[in-house]
Amino acid sequence: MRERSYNFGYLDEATKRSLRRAILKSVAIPGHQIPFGSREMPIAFGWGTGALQINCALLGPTDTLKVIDQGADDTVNAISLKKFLHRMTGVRLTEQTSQASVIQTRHRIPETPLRAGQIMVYQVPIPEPLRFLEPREIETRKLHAYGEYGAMYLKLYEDLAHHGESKSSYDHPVTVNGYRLSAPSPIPKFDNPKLHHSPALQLFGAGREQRCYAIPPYTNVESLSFQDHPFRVQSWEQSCEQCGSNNSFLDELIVDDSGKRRFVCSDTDYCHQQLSKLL
Amino acid sequence: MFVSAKGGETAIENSIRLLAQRRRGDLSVEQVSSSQIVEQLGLAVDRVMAEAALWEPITAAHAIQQARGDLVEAVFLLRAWRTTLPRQAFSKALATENMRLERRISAIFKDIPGGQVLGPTFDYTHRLLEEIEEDPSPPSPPEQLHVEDLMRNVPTVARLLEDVDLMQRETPENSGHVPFDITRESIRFPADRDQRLQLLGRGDEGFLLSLAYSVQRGFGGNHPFVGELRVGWVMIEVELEELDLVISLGEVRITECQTVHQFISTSDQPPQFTRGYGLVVGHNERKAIAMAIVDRALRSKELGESIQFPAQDEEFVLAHLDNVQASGFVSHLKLPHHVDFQSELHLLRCLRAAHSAKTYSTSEGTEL
Amino acid sequence: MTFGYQPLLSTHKSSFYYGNQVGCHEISLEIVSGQFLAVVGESGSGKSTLLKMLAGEIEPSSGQITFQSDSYGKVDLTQLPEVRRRQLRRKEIGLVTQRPSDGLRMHISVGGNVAERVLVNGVRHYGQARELARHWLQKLELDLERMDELPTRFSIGMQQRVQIAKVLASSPRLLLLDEPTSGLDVSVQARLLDVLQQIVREQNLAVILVTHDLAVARMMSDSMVVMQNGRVVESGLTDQVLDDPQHAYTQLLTSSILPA
Repeated sequence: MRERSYNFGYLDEATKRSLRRAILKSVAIPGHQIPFGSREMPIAFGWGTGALQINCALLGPTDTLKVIDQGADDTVNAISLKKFLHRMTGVRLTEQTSQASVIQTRHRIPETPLRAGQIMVYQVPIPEPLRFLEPREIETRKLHAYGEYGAMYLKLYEDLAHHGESKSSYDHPVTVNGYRLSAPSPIPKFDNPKLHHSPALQLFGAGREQRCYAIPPYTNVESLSFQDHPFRVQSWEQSCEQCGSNNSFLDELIVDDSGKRRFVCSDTDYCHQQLSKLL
Repeated sequence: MFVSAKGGETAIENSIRLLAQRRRGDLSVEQVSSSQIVEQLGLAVDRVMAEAALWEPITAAHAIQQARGDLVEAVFLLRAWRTTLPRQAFSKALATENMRLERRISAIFKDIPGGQVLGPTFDYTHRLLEEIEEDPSPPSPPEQLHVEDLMRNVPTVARLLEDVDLMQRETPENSGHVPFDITRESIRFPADRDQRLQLLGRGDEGFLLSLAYSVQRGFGGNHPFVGELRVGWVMIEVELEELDLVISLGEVRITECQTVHQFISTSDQPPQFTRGYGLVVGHNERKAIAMAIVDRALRSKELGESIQFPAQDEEFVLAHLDNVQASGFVSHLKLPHHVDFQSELHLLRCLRAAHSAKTYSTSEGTEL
Repeated sequence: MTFGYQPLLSTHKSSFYYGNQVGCHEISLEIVSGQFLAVVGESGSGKSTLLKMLAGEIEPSSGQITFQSDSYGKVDLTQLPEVRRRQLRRKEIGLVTQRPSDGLRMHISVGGNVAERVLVNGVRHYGQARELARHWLQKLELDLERMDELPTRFSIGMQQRVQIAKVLASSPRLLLLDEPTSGLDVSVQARLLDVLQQIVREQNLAVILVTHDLAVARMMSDSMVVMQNGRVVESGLTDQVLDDPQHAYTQLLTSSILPA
């Protein structure tokens, strides 16, 4: 099979430049959604094209890339994205959070704390936190422009009224830099605190919706809550069966037909690191 | 016996190999070629080019083959290919009035200047599945019509109505207006007509067809007439300003439809017919007509009509008509969502526990 | 027609045209706090168009609408920046639509609908928001046990009470009611109007009620304007207008009331 050759990063230079300009704008206005001319990529819309385009625009030959999905490096989607980016850039790949200069992620933040100089790129399906309440773009733009965020608290109210706690166990909305309401992507609530004052640059890409946004390093990020119902994260009674960790997000696996369950770290790299410390 | 999802890389490679096998099928059967697809399945090629917004028949045929005949998948392939192509220049506006006509009909007048030409159409065939001959001789050519004889420079019926002031003229606001480019900027609402027509032109044929159907059945809009439908070849011309030269790159086949809708009147203008406009790459009448009907329905706001139905709802129609976006998002549900689902599971368990505590249930069972 | 102090709302030759057609034409009226004004007319009279203009849902084609706002002082609603107009509509001016489903979020609980009105005005305390919702739902005689249910589980009459509770929760100065009881049974209507009347008196609200039902107008309002074909044909104290109508159209309307 004849392999075509492509420009570094698949996209042409003009497109990459326009994307980088959009990214710079988003860094300048933390949490605010910046429209960009999203292109069709060889990976389907809804499967990470926003984050993919950001990486195509940002990756350079000296970068080291990690790609995770649901916390794991070896799930099929993460592998597929990694293969594509590697083919188009030739960058070094790694599974270790600490070794990566760029991390593309779907639905989780690694347990290993990030450092200054690293870039997290999040895959975002629906960038608009108010979309559940208001399907129209024209109206949600106004709500953001006028800072009319009271209705977001309505969602919290409903959850408390019906469930006694916030039901949005993932994609729990946050206030960035003190005023802008943002969707952190469908990461579990457990990961929300990691957004706050992170030394890393955090970029969010929604290819299908054609929006990107950013949280610059060391930015205030607060999860939405009522004064009398402070934000709480999930916890488990169990610890990881492989490495014994008590403070990581655990995946629940069903291991046999009788419904027996195992709990294992969702972050595969973190689990390996913990395990190697024990051995 | 439960196995965790490791070995993802091997799984993917095997999956790709299996797909290649399926695509090739039985080795004793001859492999289909791109030129066969271009020649004999031309309407599939046209549809893929229209929705990919790219004129490259052989590449479109190749995409259809690679996609195993799944046309939405083929559109996806072609669009991704399109992303890699640099933008060199803009052509001049297509002179559809100068189209070399293969087919031209009007439903609003029995006779029109330039005449009506049926051209190649399924419309008057009887949909009887024909016997497929093993060694078919070439079909007998039609009387009279040869390629060189195609009409050109025939004014549209719409132009005739405009000239007697019965139809609104469509003139751009100012000659310096640069059309919106949906391939370079993110779409925005409210959408002007240039953005709208670009989106409709690339939109999924099925979606537009159903919306147009809904309009005709009473869900918005008024009774449409097909003012004119024309299919033929237009020349692509590029102006090189520095050299003061206009070059012709070649012809493409397009389908153009102008629908005529009931008249409106405003306080400062006498009543006139209004129009819908459909333009599709390749030969696709169904889509061109549907596009014109939906275009007109989306003009409701501009023309002061009340908006009540989906086909008139700009954000509803324009945000959902792209099948590459739609297909991607719908199929993304196949991606792992176990972290999100786990949260739901956890919550459900808590609620059930609270519920059974409330009803003092004493039964035992394994919670799954 | 004033009661001696500053009008809360006044319009000066406010008009709205649908293209060529007259919605309402050069309407000038005033209302003060505590005043209950009925706008009556048959369908097509322009009374709903007038209300929509006052509520800020449509922009007048001409004329001014002046409102005495607590937040912004005396303002011309037609000139006010959109962000402020929206703020007024959330707080000081309350619109009750004819169909409750137009004014409520049908997939949010009844309590949530009412609570939203204070959440959008800066309340960030769940207990407080819920307490306020309870207070107003109770005032409209709704069953507090059901405050977490969806509006669809209630009768239309009840949904209308929810809508009114919601609008009152922000302590508005001006209440705009668009045929709030049409479509309700007579007895349900009577009970609702009773409750409404009490609350209006308690809160010293200004109310503009649009209705085609003269009996409702008689029961609820102190003053009245009669509209026909987009214009005000007669205005004055309700009892005077109904007992001694001057304009031919008003006479026609009043003569068609069935005797009690």
